[in-house]
Amino acid sequence: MTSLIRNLDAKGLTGLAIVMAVALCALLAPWIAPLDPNRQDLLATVAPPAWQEGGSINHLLGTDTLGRDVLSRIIYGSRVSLLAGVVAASGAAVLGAVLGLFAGYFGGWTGTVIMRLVDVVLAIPFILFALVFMTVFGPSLVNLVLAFILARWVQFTRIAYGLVLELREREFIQACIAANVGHLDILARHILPNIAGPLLVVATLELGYVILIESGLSFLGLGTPPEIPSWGGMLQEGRSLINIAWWMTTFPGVAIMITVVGFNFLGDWMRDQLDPRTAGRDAVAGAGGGVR
Amino acid sequence: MAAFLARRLLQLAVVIIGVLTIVFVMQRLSGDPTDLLLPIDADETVRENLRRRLGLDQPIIVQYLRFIGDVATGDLGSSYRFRQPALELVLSRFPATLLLAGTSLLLSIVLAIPLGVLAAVYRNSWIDTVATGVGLIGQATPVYWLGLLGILLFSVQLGLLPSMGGGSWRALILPATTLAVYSMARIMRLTRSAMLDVLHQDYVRMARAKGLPEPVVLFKHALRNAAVPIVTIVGLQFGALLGGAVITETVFAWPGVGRLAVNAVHQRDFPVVQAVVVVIALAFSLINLAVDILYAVLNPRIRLQ
Repeated sequence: MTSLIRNLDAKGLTGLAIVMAVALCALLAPWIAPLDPNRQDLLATVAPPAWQEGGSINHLLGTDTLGRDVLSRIIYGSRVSLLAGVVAASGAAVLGAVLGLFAGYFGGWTGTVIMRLVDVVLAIPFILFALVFMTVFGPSLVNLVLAFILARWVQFTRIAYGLVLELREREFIQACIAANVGHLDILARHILPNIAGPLLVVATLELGYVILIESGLSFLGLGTPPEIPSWGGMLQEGRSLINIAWWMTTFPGVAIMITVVGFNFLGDWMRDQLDPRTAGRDAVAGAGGGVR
Repeated sequence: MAAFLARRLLQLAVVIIGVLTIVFVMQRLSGDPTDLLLPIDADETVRENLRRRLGLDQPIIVQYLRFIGDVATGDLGSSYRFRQPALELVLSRFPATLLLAGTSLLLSIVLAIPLGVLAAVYRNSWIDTVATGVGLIGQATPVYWLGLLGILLFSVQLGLLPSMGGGSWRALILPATTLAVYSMARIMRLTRSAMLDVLHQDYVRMARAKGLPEPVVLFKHALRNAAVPIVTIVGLQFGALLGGAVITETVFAWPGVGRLAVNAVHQRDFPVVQAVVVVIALAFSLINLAVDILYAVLNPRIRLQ
């Protein structure tokens, strides 16, 4: 861990700093935010940012149609994004890793079925899968997270499967098998630690992707309900006023972009650390993108 | 080649049947379809009749097979709202989506490949810095937000382009450009890294050593060998664009399947959502099949596997 920290380059450092800043915003929102995000100030509706004519220092980034403080709502909005991101990415990681481990280690027809299922799920762009899921179970943040877990595990399974296939033939694993170590023991103690790094990289990149998707679906009115401040929801509210209140659509988008850049930087940097040969490169199998 | 094609077609069939199965399971989980079709206070006998008419009283396996059979004959159910066949509805909107996604793909390839090649050739120069920056930001920016900014700048401030609707090529510019940004970023990054890989190879050094002009070395010897991963990502991006169009179409009120699907979700019009998913998954799978065939053409080693 210390050597990892010593290896922090500009990219890793920026990523880490952004992610930590967003995490702090989410954790300490009530103390950092200047105002209550839902407090309506009907005397100052649609106020521009402080530096523009008509803006006031009370509302640094302006207010929305109900006079709610944009800056405070952005700070509180980090909670939804981060919570959805962490739960969805780790859920998908656990499910995907377990299935990938089994498919790669035991192979056989279970392995074939799992990997065929991966092909099938990959053929449906995630956003459409999410739409089907929402039609059936109703649009909500919880359902969005569930849909993510049920569709994006394939990203982890693909990576885990490939790595396990390779590891299984290595001597130390063959030695374990020869020594009659239990399969579950081998998987948990000898294989999992060796694939945890790449899976963590995928999880970090997927986290950025969940944040993008959450904001997108909230923007469509299919994610976070309007009473909870969320970046996508704010963009949705700002959309109809785009010709008079540019700040309502600009700042929440900047927040999303910076956050996702942070997670992508962190993920890229971790990948470079794991495999210095590919430093500064990009791979087809690299997660985060693919079908979106 | 024939065996290769046969195997890929079989895989395609498996994927499509898989997609249909997922859709079928989801549909059954959505509860009793008669709830959606009948008023809440409908008589139990009316309900029973409708169930029998829809085949819901049959064993689940019979229903499943009937569903697959219906889809095979092009019957994906009727829209609850529009009272017309869902497939017809989706296919009537599909060309608009295809136009949008196709234009975006073309735009991103045209921009991404030269930029990626230049970034690799002039590694660590300012071009590389710009390209990498564009790549990182392009992958982190929500498509619909870029769309909103585009509307703000080009429609509201400058009054140059229409902000919504379809029909004219001017209305296509903003949605196609915003949708292209993410794919451009990804294709560019991958082109750069694929080129970096091949530029060190002996055959590139050889081509240079025998005095070939640099453009010939780059485009004929290097890029051709870097093409396989690039073709893969381009194929995958087309699927991504078809999916990404869902949100972009909503922002720009583009009359494609994406907007149709989003509206259908709000109205819980399951047959329409189902038809959109099936059509797009099929389109996406066919494109990947085409990519695989292209592979085999580009790289003879694959044919022999």
